[in-house]
Amino acid sequence: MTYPIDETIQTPLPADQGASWFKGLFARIKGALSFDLWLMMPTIIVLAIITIYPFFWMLVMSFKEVAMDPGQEDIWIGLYNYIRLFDDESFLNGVKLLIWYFFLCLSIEMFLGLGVAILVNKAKFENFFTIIFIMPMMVAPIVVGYLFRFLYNVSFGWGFWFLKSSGLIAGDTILANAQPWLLPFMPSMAFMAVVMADVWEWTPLIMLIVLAGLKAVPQDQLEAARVDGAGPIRTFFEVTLPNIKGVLLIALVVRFMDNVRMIDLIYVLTKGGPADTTKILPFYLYNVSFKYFEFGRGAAIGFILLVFTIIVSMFLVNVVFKKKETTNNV
Amino acid sequence: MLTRREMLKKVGFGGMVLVGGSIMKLPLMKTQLAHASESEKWRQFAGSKIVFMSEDTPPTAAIKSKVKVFQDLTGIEIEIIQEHLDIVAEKVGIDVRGKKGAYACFYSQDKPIGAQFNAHAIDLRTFEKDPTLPKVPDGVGDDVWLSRFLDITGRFFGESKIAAYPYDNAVAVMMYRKDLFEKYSPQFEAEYGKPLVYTRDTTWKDVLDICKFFKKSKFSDVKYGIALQGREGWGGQLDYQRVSYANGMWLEWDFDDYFGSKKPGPCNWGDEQSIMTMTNYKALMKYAHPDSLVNDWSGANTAYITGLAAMQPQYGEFAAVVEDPNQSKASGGRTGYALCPKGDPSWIVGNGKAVNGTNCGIGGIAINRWADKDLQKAAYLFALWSSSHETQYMVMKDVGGTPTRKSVYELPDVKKAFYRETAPMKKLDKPVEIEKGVMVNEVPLMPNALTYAPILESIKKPQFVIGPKVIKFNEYAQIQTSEIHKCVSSLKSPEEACKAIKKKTDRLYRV
Amino acid sequence: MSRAELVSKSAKRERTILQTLAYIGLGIFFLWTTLPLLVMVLSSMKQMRDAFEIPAVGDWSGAFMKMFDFTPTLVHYHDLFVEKGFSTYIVNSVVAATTASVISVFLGALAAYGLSRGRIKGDKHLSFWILSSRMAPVVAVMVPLYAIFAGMGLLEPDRTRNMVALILAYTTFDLPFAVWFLRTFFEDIPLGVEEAAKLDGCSNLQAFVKVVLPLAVPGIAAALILCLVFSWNDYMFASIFGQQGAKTLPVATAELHSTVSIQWGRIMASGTILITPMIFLGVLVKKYMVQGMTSGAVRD
Repeated sequence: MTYPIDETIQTPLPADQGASWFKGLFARIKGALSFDLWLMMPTIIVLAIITIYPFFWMLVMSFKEVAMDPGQEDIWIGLYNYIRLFDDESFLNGVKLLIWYFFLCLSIEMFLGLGVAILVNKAKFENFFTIIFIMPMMVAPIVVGYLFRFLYNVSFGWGFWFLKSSGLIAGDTILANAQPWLLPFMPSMAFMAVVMADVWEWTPLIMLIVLAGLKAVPQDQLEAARVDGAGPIRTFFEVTLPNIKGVLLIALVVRFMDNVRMIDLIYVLTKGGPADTTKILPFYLYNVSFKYFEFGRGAAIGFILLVFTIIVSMFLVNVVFKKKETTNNV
Repeated sequence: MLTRREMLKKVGFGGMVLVGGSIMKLPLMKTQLAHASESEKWRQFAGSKIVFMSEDTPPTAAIKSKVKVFQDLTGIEIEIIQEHLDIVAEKVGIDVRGKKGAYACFYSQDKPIGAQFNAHAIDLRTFEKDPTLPKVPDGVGDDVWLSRFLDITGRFFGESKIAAYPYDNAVAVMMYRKDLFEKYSPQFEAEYGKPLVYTRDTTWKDVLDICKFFKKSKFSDVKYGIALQGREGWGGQLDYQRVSYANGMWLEWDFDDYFGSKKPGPCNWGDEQSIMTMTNYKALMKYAHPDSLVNDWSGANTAYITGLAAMQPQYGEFAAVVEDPNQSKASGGRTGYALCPKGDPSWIVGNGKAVNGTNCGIGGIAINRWADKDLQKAAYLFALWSSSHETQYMVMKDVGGTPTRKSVYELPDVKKAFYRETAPMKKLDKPVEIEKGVMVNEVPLMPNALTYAPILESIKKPQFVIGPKVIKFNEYAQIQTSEIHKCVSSLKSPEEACKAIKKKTDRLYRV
Repeated sequence: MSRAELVSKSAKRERTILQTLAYIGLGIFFLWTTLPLLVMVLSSMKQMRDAFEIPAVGDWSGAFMKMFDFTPTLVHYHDLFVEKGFSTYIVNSVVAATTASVISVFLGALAAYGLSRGRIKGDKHLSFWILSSRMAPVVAVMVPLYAIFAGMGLLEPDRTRNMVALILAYTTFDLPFAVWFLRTFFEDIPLGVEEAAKLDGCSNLQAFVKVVLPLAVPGIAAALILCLVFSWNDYMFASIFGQQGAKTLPVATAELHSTVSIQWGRIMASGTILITPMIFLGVLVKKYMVQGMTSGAVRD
């Protein structure tokens, strides 16, 4: 339906009116939030719900003594949960073991992963080797835990048999062995057994990431080195390594984040024992939260663990691998 | 902390969903129900759905296989979830602490779950007094259950409330390889001056001697004398307690064993007897199967049935596995069942008494306070049914049962099954070879019954030890076993370990 | 011989020695990887009592016999599928992991793009917060998440609801990872590319979809693969949030550890089932990872 056009007043036609009103509104919202923020909206909303709430819950809980029985009130105790941790043998032990754990696991996995990736890269039957080598990481950590529990078993474990027969270990048991491995300040044999399981499972992840990175090394640089008469070793250090720095960092951070979070292996293999020698901090946290149901204390430990993880990650990113400031990185 | 309801209102999520299942009722008025027939009372919740969270053990598996009987009786659809005990405790804990009530009824193991979540279990007497709910023929009074079992699973901390009915019983007995003992007796006698036998008077020191003997001898068909269950947590706490209680009836605290306490006060750890027992336990561990420190009951059982250990203190319900020739080298009549070892005078300080220290994990079935009111009643029907005489008897024949009612033990065919000579047997289709040249062609119909004779004797005082029923039990068990591990691994002396337990425990209970 | 030839000769010798060492190293690592897998696969086909047979310590010759001399049986696989309904769990695992990964990578790509352009104020802080949410210890976030999901009614005994809960739970760690991982890829796509597209008359959205996204596909594929691996392997979240309706493979396998015994045969069978798809997916995985990493994201 059209209206007579009044030349004196410029009124937009109703059909247009509706549409342009919408367009105007839309444009106004769009203007308020840049396109980029628009794109981020869904992510931010989802993450806000599932990370902000738990984070604040955890923080608030950590300042309380949470009531055990219904009808009781939570008691606000300020920093007491944090302070008592300094006197808590299990907590301090957990921190010490956690540092050992990620130090050993990560260094071995990075070293092995890098090494194997180099070996596999451009080897004969590269695809075959790759497929075989990445199988361990496709097996869920829980299942790897059971597999290694089977292997380490004194009665019927092939792993135990192999280690004993080749003289690599002397004792009667692996998983119940709380004696320090090799040197007195090192963690126990049981701990090393867990580390070995972790290394077996996750080295392939490092290998995969590094292998992909190796493929990205520019051919011309490699050619130049060869023409220069450089042997494989020199080529590696001067050409390859600088080019895969970024990949190594990604692999390191990815692995680190999971290594200090996941307790599946310990849960199946040793449950923190023997004699607390595999009770890394995340596992102690699990006990406090889900065995003792002391949510206040658990929240405090959880918060400390989170802060610890963030600090170490930042250290790894900023100090160990110096990245140029021009790229906006974490 | 916001309750979930408040949070929901604030965030604006709509629709509170029915919790823990769905409920439907016969359109009968309450007064009508009170005068209805028993069968009508059983059927009043037909069409409802409830969830039972339970332990992954034969008794529950057996009930699960017979659950159709319950469904036909009541029309209630019940989902029985079976998990490892640690996980049951975890999930029940999250559920009740989160006030959700997803599991209308749950398995309430006396110490790890019952004592911890006592406040979240409904008083069953409210259902007992309710005229609209049915009753079972023998009732649920104290005397229909085995010796004070209702106290154990139902009554905590001096409250008169009944939290759970006894549902299954796991009592420790000693399982040992009769055949190996016979075989090696002459050698043993030559060295130790006494025959290699296991009787009710065998002490823990005798057990230690047997272990030393086997470990030293390095026979081809058995490696160690005993398989212990020292795993951190409840398994290790029970394992140690058998030794500590047998020698001088030593208790961790001095409150009433059957009821436990919310404020236990200072513990007895660190006294002379505890240090002596710790030293002796360390010696036992030294000669036991080497994985004893990380094994729980299933690990120890595996060591026993694979023929690596000649003895194991184990819970009666494992007899079913031990007697299965497809899995066990100890089947076919090779295993004897007896009371747990006695204390040894030389291991006791002062005037303490030596007894056949026996402990237990009596499982109860409790109703979740946070479940919907009607679902609670439906769950109560299940609790009644699953702990009734007929059900316990029916389930026992299925390899699974560990009945808690006296009446079941008094049935003639059950009594016959106590001893292998008179027990009804089942012939296998094909004989199974359990070891080179050793064939087994029949299995007992009710294998668990073989453990009943020692169990019935040992569940009375003075042999029986029930506690410690305390709040924060799981943390206490962890503290205790952690220190025991350190002592056994020579990282601490027995005295240091005991004193550490005392210090940490007293701090835990704010002494 | 000229100096150049001498130099290259020594380089060649170095190369051959290293090559031999390389193949030896490869061989050792091959054994290291495959022997446990071999035990797993073989044990899955042995009766429990056979699986428990190992030779005496030091008896290397007997090892071969004990390992390979047995009557193969498929009873464990049969039990898994018939008694335990493992096919459902496999489906659950696949669906949950795939859905969560796809959602995470999709949303993550959007967010990563937004962050990479440098046009948002405080983008560095934002991306740091996003990454750090992945670092939260699983146990610490489980209780509040449980409350949230319970409130949303996702923990009722219903398969769809439990699956949703599971997918959301996986997203909590997949999404931050995807954002962080993809950001570096998007950063390497020069701003000029969209500018050019916009000059051609595209809107912001069209520029993103038609020009930028295709360049990032390899990176997205790599992120997808990694997210799949992380979700597939998860146990903790699945055991609490999957409840009974959405039981995944890791949870189902852990249940084979009953209170009375550990059903080794079935556990080994479950593990074997887990690695079988890898034989087929292995090549694909490698190809996309390589492409993903190669697409320029990691050049200095």
